[in-house]
Amino acid sequence: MLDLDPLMVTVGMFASMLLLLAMGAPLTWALLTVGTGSAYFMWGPNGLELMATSAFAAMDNFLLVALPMFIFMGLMLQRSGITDDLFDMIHKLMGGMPGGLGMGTVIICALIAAMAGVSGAATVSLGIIALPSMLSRGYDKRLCTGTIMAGGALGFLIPPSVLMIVYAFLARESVGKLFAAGLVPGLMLAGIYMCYIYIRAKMNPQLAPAIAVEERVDVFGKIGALKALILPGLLIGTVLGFIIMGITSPSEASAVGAAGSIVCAALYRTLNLKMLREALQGTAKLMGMLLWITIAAVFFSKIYIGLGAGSLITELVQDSSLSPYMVIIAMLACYFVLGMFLDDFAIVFITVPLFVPIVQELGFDTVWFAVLFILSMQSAYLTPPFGYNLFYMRSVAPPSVTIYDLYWAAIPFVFLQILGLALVVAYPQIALWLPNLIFG
Amino acid sequence: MPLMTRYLAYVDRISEEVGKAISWLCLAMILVLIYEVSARYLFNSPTSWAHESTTMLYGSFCIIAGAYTHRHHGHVRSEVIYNLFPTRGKALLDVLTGMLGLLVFGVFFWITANYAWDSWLMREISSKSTWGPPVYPFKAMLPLAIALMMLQSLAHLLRDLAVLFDLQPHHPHIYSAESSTDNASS
Repeated sequence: MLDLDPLMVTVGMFASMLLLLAMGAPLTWALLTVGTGSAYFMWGPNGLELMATSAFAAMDNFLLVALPMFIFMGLMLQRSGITDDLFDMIHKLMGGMPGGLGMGTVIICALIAAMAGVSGAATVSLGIIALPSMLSRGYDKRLCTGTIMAGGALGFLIPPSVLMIVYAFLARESVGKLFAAGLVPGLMLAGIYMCYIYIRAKMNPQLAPAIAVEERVDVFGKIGALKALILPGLLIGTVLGFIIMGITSPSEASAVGAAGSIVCAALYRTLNLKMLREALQGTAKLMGMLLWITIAAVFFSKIYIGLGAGSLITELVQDSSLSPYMVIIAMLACYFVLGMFLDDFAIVFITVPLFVPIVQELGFDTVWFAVLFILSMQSAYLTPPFGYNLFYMRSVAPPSVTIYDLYWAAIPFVFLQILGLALVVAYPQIALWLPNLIFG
Repeated sequence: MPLMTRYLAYVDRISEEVGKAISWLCLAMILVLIYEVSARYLFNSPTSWAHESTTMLYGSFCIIAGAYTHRHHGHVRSEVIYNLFPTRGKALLDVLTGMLGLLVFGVFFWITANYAWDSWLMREISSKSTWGPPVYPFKAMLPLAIALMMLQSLAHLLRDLAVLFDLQPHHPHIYSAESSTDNASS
């Protein structure tokens, strides 16, 4: 066995992993290769036994059952026609005011975020339904694409969120607490977006005109339109209520939601074998990726910690003269940079085992830090040039919307997100009020 | 070359069909958990087996699906620097990382096969609940999934080699590895 300095181990392991990633190797491959190599050189063949136990530990975990359930639920709802129904409601309720369709789109995004655990669902389905409708009524293309992309990213923060479940698994945190902590900041951000659209529409009605008078409906039509909220309301209330109130485990609640999404599709008369197959296969594709990263990341961090390097970063932070808040800001800056190169799941698996012990050491609330992390991932999804939501939007937007339009569309919303992030840093109670209320 | 083309087509079929078949386990998980929740709250008789059997379904579903994901190039990677290379440069990088990956999967297969075999020899029983099902078939999913992953990795490696050495394809199928990363909902 070689005796190596923890600093060398850290630099060696992370540098070789990043090199493999830069060469285009999938994250799973990079983590497994470096983990295997390090274990072999440090401990010989016996060190490799950890591979089997890490892999089995990731497979044999009831908490993670919620991941495929929520992903399936999102894929089903995306195909179920629920978005058409909600957009029809928004059109009747809010179409008559300047910016109404835009603000309504944010509301739909928040509702979809509360039903689906993944972020692409809202961006893609609203890009198909709401975008053509707004463009045909003279909305500014940058304002409406920006709204949909930013609203779509709310899926991370508003529970249920697949990313939060992974975070909870890695940081040994309660899923219920994280979900409760994401709710208020998520709604706050939705409110900020709506204010922004309202102000823009007030200042320049050309950007977001009200729909024509003959298209509007009377009061009774408006009340009747509210029935579109019944099914989503039931679904959201059941799933989140079960989890946050602790009636069932998150995994059981997720199965109830998944079954509910099938019922919804049946009620919207869109359920058929083809869509069910597509949703199941989409789930298989995503979960095949997620479980394999989990295995590789658990293995990698076990080796890393086993080599005695785990405490290195904590010690470095303690020795440095940085103030605790500066450390948090440095971590968030780190997320911002990583977000340009890696996707959210890659970042959560690499950084949580490193950062969360530091956050605890500094005496901060780890639930609060989880919300900050999710908020920065949300910005990463929107920040040009590599934000994922820009690509999702590009794939469904009409050709008249160029990629440069999307860059310009995203920028104001990135600033609004940074504003939201700053508010949660300055006032942790925004995130912590609800979980403290429920869990004491 | 025809042999290689046949191998590629064959492996793609296996990954595709196995992935599609295994995706139904997701529905089975939903059914088991719904049964458990209703048995507990409506009939006040919780089961002893629901949580553990769903966990086993989940683990088998996800690990086997890995090869299906790989066939569709769905494993997360960062292409920021990779995309700066020309086509053959990319193929060279893919050949290097692909060979390294196959080697690691070989080790991984060996370790997990021993792990599952030990469990099988002593007819290991789960001690997580009063239900106590056998664990060895579940553990055997690991080497099985890794074997599927190796077949698919080898197929990708052969395609990359064909691009790298500029081999004329006897069959256009060689290049038809679907490069559409259709995880548009991650």
